[in-house]
Amino acid sequence: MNSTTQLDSFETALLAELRRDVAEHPAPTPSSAPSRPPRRRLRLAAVGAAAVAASLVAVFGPGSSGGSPAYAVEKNSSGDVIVTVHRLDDADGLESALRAKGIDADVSYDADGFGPTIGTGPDGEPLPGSQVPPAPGQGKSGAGGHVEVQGETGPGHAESGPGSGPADGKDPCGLGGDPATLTQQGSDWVFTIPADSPLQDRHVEIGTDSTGALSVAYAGDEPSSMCGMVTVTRGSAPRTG
Amino acid sequence: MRAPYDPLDRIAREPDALEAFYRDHVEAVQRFVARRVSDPHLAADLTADVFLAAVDSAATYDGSRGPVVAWLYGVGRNAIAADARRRARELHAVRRVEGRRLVDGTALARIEERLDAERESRRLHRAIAELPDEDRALLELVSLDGLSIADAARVLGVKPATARVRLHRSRARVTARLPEMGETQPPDRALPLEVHP
Repeated sequence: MNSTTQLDSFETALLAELRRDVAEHPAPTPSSAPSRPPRRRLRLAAVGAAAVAASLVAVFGPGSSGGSPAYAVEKNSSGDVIVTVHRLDDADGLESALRAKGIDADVSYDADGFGPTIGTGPDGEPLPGSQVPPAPGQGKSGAGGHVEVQGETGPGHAESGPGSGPADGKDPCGLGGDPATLTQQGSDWVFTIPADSPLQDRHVEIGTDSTGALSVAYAGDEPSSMCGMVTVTRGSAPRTG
Repeated sequence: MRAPYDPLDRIAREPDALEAFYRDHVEAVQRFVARRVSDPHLAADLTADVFLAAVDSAATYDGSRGPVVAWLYGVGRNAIAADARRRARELHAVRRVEGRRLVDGTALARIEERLDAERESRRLHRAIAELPDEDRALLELVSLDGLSIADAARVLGVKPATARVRLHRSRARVTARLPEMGETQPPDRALPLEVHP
């Protein structure tokens, strides 16, 4: 970024063209043109993720829900918060329900599209070497520090990314133990946050992709670390435990 | 000191403001393009496209939401995607500025050098091509173009926390895919999950 950089012949010629374009077709001053079309588009992009999720729910939303609840959130007598997701629907509702139980969560089922889930190919076939290779410099991590891949693709343990932990094999999340569990029970997902879990007062992200993998992620204690669990459902026999 | 193109919408009205903006960013834009396409003439066209798109959408830049270059990369992505769509439909729309017409021998050599330097980046670009659009955009901006997660999230209009989750998943997917693509070792710098702002 240096204004004195010597431009080559192409850059000089392009600059001349651009100058001419602006000189011949100057944009109106902001006051005389309160709403240029591109502005509107970017305004939309600037809307927060929660609002985006809301709009997607409106589009793909609860029309097919038939009235049955998409989720249940309860707090048992010992203070564990148990989230049962029956259907990937009403993300906003789940977010509010979690907030009511004191859990600060972002829930977004706004499909990250249609890509292959971890460890599976486009047809749900296991990829060769489908176990996501462990990140360099990380040893066996504690339960809180890895992504668990469950399902017919075989159990793989995908550790969280490089740089998320020091090279001494320490749990990159730094939360110790198992801050929560995510399992499948029949067609439901059950996500349990024990009463003494650090996630009771930590931001949690719940998301999915359209292949049906539900993931729960949360910030670890190490700066910038992101830890979590993924359950792969596609084509797999439901597994509990 | 304020840049001569502050506020940025001046570049759409004042040729001098545009020139200052152009001189500050022409190298970054050409490298951005070189990380994505390998044909020098197309690269010249796209460089022109990106700057024209920047002029057209200069009024959308909000200085409180991150550095100009992050915004410019966002504009650049859209411009390049629009071009790809046009070419996919074999529509040869007349460009306002035909970048390739402006290229002579010496400039061609410099463009080719740049393309050569970004060869590795283009390989990664192909490797992440199968990710869902949103995930891909994010991984591109962070690991290919070097934006911080926070800036990339702003460009794409998502929360930083959401961006981190997506990057986390994308990285796992790409890491699983790379061996299939004949990559022996994913380039280290290519997949930084954690980028400190």
